[in-house]
Amino acid sequence: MKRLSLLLFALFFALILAACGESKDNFRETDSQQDEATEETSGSEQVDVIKIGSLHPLTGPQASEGQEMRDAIQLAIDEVNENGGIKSLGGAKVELIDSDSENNPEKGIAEVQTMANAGVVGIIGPYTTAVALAATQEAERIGVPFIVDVGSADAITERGFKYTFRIQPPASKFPEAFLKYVPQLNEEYGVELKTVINAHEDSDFGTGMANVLKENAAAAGLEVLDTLPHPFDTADLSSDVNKIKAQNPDIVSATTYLNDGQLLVETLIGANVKPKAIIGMASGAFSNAKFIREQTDINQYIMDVNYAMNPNSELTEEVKKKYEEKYNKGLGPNAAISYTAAKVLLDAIERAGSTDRDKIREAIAETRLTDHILAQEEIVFDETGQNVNAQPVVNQIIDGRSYVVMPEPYKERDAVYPLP
Amino acid sequence: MKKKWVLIGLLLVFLFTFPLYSTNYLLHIGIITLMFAFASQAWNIISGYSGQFSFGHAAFFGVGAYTSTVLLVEYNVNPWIGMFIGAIIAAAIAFVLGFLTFRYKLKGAYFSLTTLAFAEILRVFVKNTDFFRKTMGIMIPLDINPFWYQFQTRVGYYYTILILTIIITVIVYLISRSRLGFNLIAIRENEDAAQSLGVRTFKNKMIAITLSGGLTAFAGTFYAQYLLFVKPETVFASDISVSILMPAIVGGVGTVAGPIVGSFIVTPLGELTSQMFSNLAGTNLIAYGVIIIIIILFMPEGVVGRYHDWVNRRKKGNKETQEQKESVTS
Amino acid sequence: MSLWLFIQSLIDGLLMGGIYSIMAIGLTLIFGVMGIINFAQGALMMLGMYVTYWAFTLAGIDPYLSLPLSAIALFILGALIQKGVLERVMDAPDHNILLITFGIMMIIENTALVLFSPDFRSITVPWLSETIKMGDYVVSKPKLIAFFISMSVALLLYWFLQKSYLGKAIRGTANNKIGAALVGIKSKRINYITFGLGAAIAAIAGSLMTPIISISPSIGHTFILKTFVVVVLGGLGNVLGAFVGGLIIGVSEALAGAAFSGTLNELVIYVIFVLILIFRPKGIFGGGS
Repeated sequence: MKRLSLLLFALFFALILAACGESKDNFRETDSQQDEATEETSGSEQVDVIKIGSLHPLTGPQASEGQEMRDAIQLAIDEVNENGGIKSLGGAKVELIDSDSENNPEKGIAEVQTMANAGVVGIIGPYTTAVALAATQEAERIGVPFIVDVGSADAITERGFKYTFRIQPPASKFPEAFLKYVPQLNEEYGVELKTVINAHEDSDFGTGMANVLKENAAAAGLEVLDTLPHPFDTADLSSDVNKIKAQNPDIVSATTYLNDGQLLVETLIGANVKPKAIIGMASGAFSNAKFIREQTDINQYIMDVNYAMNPNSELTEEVKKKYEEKYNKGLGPNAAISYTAAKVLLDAIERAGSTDRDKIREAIAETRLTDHILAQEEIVFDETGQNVNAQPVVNQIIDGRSYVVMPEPYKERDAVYPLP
Repeated sequence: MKKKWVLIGLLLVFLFTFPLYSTNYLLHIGIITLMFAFASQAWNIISGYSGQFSFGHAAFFGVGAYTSTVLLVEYNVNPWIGMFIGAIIAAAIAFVLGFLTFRYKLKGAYFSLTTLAFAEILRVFVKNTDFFRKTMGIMIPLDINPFWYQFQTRVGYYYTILILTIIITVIVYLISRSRLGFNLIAIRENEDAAQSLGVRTFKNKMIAITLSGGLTAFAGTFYAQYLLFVKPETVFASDISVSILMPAIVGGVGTVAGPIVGSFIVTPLGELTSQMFSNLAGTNLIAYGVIIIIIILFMPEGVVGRYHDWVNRRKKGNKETQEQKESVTS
Repeated sequence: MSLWLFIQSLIDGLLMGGIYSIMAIGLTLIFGVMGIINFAQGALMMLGMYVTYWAFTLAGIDPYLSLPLSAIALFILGALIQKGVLERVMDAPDHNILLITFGIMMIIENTALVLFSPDFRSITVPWLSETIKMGDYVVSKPKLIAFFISMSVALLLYWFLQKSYLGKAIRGTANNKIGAALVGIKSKRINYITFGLGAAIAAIAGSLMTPIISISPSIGHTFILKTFVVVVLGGLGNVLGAFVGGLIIGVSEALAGAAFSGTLNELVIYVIFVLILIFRPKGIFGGGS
């Protein structure tokens, strides 16, 4: 009978070994120094394949965004491979190892470890702050460069980490941009919209922005009448909308994900609430390609202060077309950022001419990329790893398309402000 | 009898030397497995031995995680000390919960649902409170120093949770052999009968839930120090309550080895399924659902429970054949 | 809080409450008759939603017309679940039954996740989109319809249980299994019907909600705990109690939402729950169908 227990333990052990064998490549002990797999290099390295990792939610409620972002990275990789691979490494082909974070920090840590063991020289991800904080920490411990494409909390780049970089602007920049552009809009279009109610999803994402907005509104001449948090998967917003109706603000601002953003707008319309402007702050709904294209009976003239692609650039058109042809989906701003992150990483690998993670890290830090599709100036990182020129712009949905309406170099057309 | 101790000895050797032949990834699995084994063992005290099934142990886990973290980040209290303070607070909260439910005679499903609601209340409360940074959570600054409960590599965390798990298993073993343990089992089997036989049911259940809640908090602190980040959605979520009760259910509620064996089955299995079906979401959760149903239908006493039954039947069988032999020969 | 806000919240609360009611009615029926607390009720509702969704998206069937379809489909599924799984554990301790229904929920939800993907989906039914305006106040059409159908289902079910032969058989089985068997009532079959009925009601709730909210495989989670609260409030097994309880919870939630900031209104529901469980576990109306 003791044999049965022994059998059970042996079975368990065997299962574990089987799990090892099934997954990825050979495992090896890694410590915070470099992987022994990397060869010594001085510009004349010859490898066949170089691997980079993608960590995004491929399952769960954020899966569709996560998959779009992963696909964008794959597109960037395909472009490089079709053009002869990484030339400084003798034409090495780039391979993507894509991992599912399941939007779970623990899983994120495990996947970083797995990808590192599989030999990736850099990782891009993860879409949410919680996973970003955990995953970059693990990457820092191991010594793998991690480029955060989307992940908003300021704290991500405030921990003194060397291996963490970020493309999107930090969360505090969104309300700052909101408070900069609304007075500008007021001036340009000759109106005085002052009162704001902010409806936001209640995780760290929305709460952080709500706080910054509230603290700085007065200085910008605006007044936040009320702040209304809601769970991102809420089925009903009538309570919040009733409060908006009761207080009648000029502007309704919203930081949401896709589902709740849509629900908010539907409920506002249903309740006959007509603010003079609806302006999102990093709203996952108002900048979502599907929402923009399909919900035309409810989304007309909705604005969103969010990062965007540069509409006045030919490169952007090219990339959008390629993405659409390959994946049958529109290229959204999150995926555009992932694409850019991949471009940065691939460019760094090319400049480093090495598979050494530290050399690649240095190359990333020295990035000066002007040939990119985002609505910002050159991509340059400061000592904290933040893309300093990253900025949100003001987008507006008009007739089923999103246009950049402010600021100048990226402006596509005039805004409709206030709402007619 | 000796064979059991040899087996345990072998297991301990395996567990202690595990870092030598595992990879970093496996070590992470081992850590999470042991952590939930620990928490499940704590859960076992009130739910396994006393039969009062809690669906809300995330409440105590979360309290442990938040207490030590807030004390560290705001008041610079050493997390090892914060861990004990967290346990005390969790025990106090468990005491309140126990008082409300046992005093008013909530049993069975009513008790379970109350614990569920209780955990949710704590989660929503923390989520809405500025002092706890609401949903933004609290980050623990990276400061690698074992004295301050942070380790350079996973190995340090592994041994910490291994030792904690061994300690709590010993505690539960001692409880199972003690008067308290017998009382709890009696209460579980038939509370009214136990009461009429003189068992102070209220007092014993209160001790059990207080102990259970307080001990669970240690796992919460460990989790916080391992991830260096706490937020309501991770430490107070019902997912945590499920992960805490699953090992004991599968391994065998009310047994000493149950939560340990159960966690070693359930946690790696979860990993295995999510790896095998990496392009299909949620398949590991389907597997969990199937396991729960199979266990409850065919092995409600759990793996270890079934093993005990098997042993007892064999013993009885041997005894009977022995008696038969004697009656024939004599 | 202004008077307008109060009344509008009251209206919205009542309407939402109608939905909670119907969710609770299915759950309370199952508990009242079989003693099973069905954790999977939310998942069953979700399946009903998808039936209606696909009927509308693929075949253009109006959601209210596909309601019988989803009800029948889930009735069959419910009966199968009872026959295949739950039947074997009818005598097991409470918490084991809870765990099994929990396991069933996990399987249903995650299978839906694999089959339907986690994307939120919604349907837009043109004739439902306008709201009804009554002076300063606004009433959502689909919610109003859901309210009336919910009320009708409650009344119908109550009548069915009190007056029809099958209904009395069901109640008989609930109250006295042996006695019922002696009179020739096959309790196993009654149980299939009962659980099937409970599932069908969940499906109706789902179909009614599809025009109102976006659906996804995990939508059941948002409702299940609230549904438990309603059921306990109304008295486990009390169909009319579940209806009234749903309205009470709907209104409490709406008023709390209007009065408090943050998401503290969630707390109100749970606190009500704990208080009821402790001080009046039989619910305001007491138990019994």
